Amino acid sequence: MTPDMPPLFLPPHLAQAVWSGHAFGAGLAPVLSSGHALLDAELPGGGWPCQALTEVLQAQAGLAEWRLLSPALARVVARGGHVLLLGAPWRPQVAALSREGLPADRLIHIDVHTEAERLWATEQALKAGCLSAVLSWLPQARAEALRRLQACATQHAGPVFVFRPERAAQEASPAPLRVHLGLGPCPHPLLLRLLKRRGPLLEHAIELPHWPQGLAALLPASPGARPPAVAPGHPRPATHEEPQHHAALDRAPAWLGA
Amino acid sequence: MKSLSTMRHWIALLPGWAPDAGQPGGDTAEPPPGPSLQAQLGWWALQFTPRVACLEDAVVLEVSASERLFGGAQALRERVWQGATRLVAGMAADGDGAGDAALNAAPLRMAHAPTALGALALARGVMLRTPRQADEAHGARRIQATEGWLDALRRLPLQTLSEVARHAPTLAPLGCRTLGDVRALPRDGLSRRFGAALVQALDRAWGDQAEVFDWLSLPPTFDVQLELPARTDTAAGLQPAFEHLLRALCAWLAGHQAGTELLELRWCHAWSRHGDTRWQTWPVRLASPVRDASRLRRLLGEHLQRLRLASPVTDVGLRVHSLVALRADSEELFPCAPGSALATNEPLTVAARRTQHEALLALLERLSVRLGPQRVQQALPCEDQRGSQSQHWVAALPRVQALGLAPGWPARASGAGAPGGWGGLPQPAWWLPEPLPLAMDTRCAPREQPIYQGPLRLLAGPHRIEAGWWDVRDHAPAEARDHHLASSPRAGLLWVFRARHAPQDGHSPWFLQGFFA
Repeated sequence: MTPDMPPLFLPPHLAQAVWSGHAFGAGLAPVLSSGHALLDAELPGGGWPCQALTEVLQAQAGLAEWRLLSPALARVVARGGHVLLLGAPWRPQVAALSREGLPADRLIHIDVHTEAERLWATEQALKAGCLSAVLSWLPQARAEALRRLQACATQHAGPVFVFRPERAAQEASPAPLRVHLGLGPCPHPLLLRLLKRRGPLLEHAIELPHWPQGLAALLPASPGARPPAVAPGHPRPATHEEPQHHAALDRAPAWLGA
Repeated sequence: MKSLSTMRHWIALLPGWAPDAGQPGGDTAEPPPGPSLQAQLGWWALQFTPRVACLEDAVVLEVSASERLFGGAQALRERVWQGATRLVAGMAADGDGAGDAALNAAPLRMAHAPTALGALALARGVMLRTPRQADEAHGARRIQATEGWLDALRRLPLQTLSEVARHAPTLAPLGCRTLGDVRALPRDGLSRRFGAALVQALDRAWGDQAEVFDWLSLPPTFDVQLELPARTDTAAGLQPAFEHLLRALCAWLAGHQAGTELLELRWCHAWSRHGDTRWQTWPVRLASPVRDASRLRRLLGEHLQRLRLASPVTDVGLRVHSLVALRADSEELFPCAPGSALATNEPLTVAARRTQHEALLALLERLSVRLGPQRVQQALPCEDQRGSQSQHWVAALPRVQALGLAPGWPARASGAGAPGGWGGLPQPAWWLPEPLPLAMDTRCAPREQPIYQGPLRLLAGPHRIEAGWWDVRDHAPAEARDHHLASSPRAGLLWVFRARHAPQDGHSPWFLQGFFA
């Protein structure tokens, strides 16, 4: 298939049912806008998936979670929901988070010690179905446990973020969306790589210049003015109509190394 | 006479299948210990009307006065049927994910008529004997006759009225096959031959004579004990018995139209040691008034996991003294899922918000029982410039309970952006519990170069905080620190400080306090 080939004509009722490999998979579950326009453009449906796991992989826990998630979390909290943190690496500073729209009485932190406790508590939280978002740190979770959580997540209306170490990228995962979260050089914009999504593989990193309120003014270079970083050797495809990698939805990109 | 009786509206609920033997109620199976299913149905039915009675092996309720409240006779009957099948199927009042198959298999028959005996006879007339038959007939366990109820009554076999069934061996050779045949016999001869009770029963069933009932009343407190079939050593072994009691409790609470906030689990040891009383009590506190059997059951499981039995147990008991009125809308016929409204962008309705709040309390309650209340936490911000004192972590359950449905509830969530105690300076989102001493790069001496995953570059600062010198508490020492915003090549943006009074022992005066995550 070449780019100038005329698009395949299908009657509308068939076109809805056919998913072509280069398009985003249209899930039935609702999505929650991430609050980052650059990221929403690359996420299937235009936001974090609800009723499903989203894996966030990090080289070390606790570097950039809130900058990535607080715009979306603030939105659900404003509608009257609660956010549950399970086994966070450190305690959140609620004064800082309430400036981002996450007041202290909407955050509940569960202090869990063992991996079994983490999984049990996460499962309970998902089954309860009363929370707007669940953030769970699962440093040692295995694929079977995640599969179980993914099944439970269908009972949960909002997004579920599971934070795992970087090495987990090598393992298969039932989560429909896997994101590698890293930091760029000073002033440390967020660098996101989508390891897995319902859609074509995205090889370049997404740079999100987002800082907590009031912090950007203190940083050296004026952030946000730079163009989005493009990984060398992987020119960004202009449109999604171009042929792209189709099948390798769960494949780790080469930059991760073995 | 007839006009008076047609104003009444009786519903008969008959637990159990029609026995294979002709005699109604001749079921010889061992009834389960504890409150009988009939008594539970009676307690449960008291939520619809105060006029509930046990009639032979059925529960009859007169609902003509409450039909308007529940949206009409048809809606009320539908509601009674739904609730009663769930109760009989041993399920939670709001359904517990069990399919329709279990409901269809519930051994229950129901009928309605203008007289109680007539309704009971019609209910017995449902000739389904096994769950399998009921499943095939799909809902045929309910007699829907309204207009021609007298015709239906006439066609019923002799066994459906117990006074008639008693004389069935004599009546059958006379050519009587149905109640209508008996009714057509001459009254005075019938009365002489079979006694006045037979004619009286027929008159009552037909509505020609007033019926007299011993109305059921709810016990004011729930205190039921159950003897276990065998001595039990483990707490988990008590679960089935307690679940049986919980079902009875929920029927009792439904009759009171109330919930409870405190249960007492009790159990009796086979023998006592060191003069202990044999009865032990374990209180179960609930975060909100509860009548939901599935929530109680899950919580019971958590509590039983924590129990250690000193010696084998022979009896269990359940006791509830206090009742809290429940809102009527908390048991809807089609309750919305707690989280369903969250997925949409529309603001939550009051009912959805309440359901969500209840579900949240139930979740926190479960987590608190398993992990301990202090590990389910919320932060309490304090107006203190010292980082170590700027927030305290407290048990979340009481706070959510108190704050949850305060007026203006969603609006409070937007109270963000107010400058904190730091004059509007940004603060790190992750806060280390104890400041981490940072190593120094000695090659840069005498300039101080702290290291955290690479040399730090100070971007902003110093921001001096010197506070707490007035505080005499031991755990809240005074702080005198110069804070900086620093950049680490690998760890991103950090909040570090240099202690103004450098440690005398040569340790680094630089500390890591938090991450701008």
